[in-house]
Amino acid sequence: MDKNFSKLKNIILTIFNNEKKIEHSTKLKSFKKYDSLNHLNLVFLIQKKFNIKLTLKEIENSNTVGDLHKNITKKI
Amino acid sequence: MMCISKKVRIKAISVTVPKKVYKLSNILNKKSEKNKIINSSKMLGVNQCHKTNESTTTLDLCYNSAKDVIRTLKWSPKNIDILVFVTQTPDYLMPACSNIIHHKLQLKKECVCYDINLGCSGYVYGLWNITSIMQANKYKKGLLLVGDTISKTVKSSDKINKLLFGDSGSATALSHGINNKMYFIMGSEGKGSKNLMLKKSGFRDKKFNPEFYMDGKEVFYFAVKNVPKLIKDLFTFSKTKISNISFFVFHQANKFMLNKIAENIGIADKKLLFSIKNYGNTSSASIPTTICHEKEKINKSKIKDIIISGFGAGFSFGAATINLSKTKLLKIKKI
Repeated sequence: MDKNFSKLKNIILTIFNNEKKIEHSTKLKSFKKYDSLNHLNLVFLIQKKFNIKLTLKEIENSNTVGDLHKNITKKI
Repeated sequence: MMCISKKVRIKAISVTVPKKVYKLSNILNKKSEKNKIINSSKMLGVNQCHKTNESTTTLDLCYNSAKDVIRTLKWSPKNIDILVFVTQTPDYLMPACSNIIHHKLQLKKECVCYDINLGCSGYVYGLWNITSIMQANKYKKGLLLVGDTISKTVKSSDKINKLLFGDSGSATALSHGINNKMYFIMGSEGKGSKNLMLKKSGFRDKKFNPEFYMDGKEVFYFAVKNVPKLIKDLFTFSKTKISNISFFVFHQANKFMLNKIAENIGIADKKLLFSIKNYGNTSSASIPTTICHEKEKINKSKIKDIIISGFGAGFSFGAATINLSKTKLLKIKKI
């Protein structure tokens, strides 16, 4: 598995503590613990752990785990 | 809307917070929530805040700050021409807080008193309002009181917001000042009103039981989309640039949001002031609270022009360029 994807999965697990399978097509809103605060926590941790900065457009247009992965990969 | 206030100067700013401190450790008792709370507190940039007890209100905090500036400036209450009180957590809907304070401070009968109902943008709007009225009517002295006790409306089960929202009340003394200009830009995006509100706090709901509600994601997008443009427009309007501004004092919504806004404008970290770590998000009082919290830095700086910006409930927003060269910034008081 792609190293960045598994790192992203770990971040998602930390925040959403999710038992379901995390795939590229998984929608962020489908996580049980998804709420407005956790959405910001997710972006905050991604920026910190990958040492990147996401633009507002990238944050707003990231609906699935795959969208986030794509945005992370192009910045590394 | 863009406008300039002339010939009014900020003479002193005082802030009062409650003694009672609410810390991150107060809410870390449940193992299952620990991760979310710690992650959130890092993202929000808050470690603690100050909360009022049941008997202390916004009015009490602002009254203490008002006495502080009057005493410091050796003003006679009888010479104050106008008092404006900005809050969304008043003692009563009727009478206005400004009228109650008028009596407590023993102000003169001719003193103009009224309240303004605004939240996080309230300091900028209050400053624009009082300076415009003072300029138009040639008033010599004015008091702007801005504060909130939002913590009273946050449910005890809402642990993150319990930590995030602190209470604070400020007083800003203004007087006639030749050659002084303040530049303001303000606006509203009313469709966002439903995303940040005190539910059950007025006559729309049958039961009066104010309850804080916020869609943090919507507030984040609103602020990050609008504030950078607002500040850039203010640069153009006031014919200034980042290098002519010593500090930027934004409403202390949360650290992540403010860093994102600063990043979009190109503001260096050292020019962005914070008080959220120690005082949390103090709503309308967060700008004066940050100014007084960082008074040493402001006093040491050779450049005395700062930019302030408030944004939030409404969605209402405003920004201003102000000069603090003859302003006494007082130590934050605790009652």
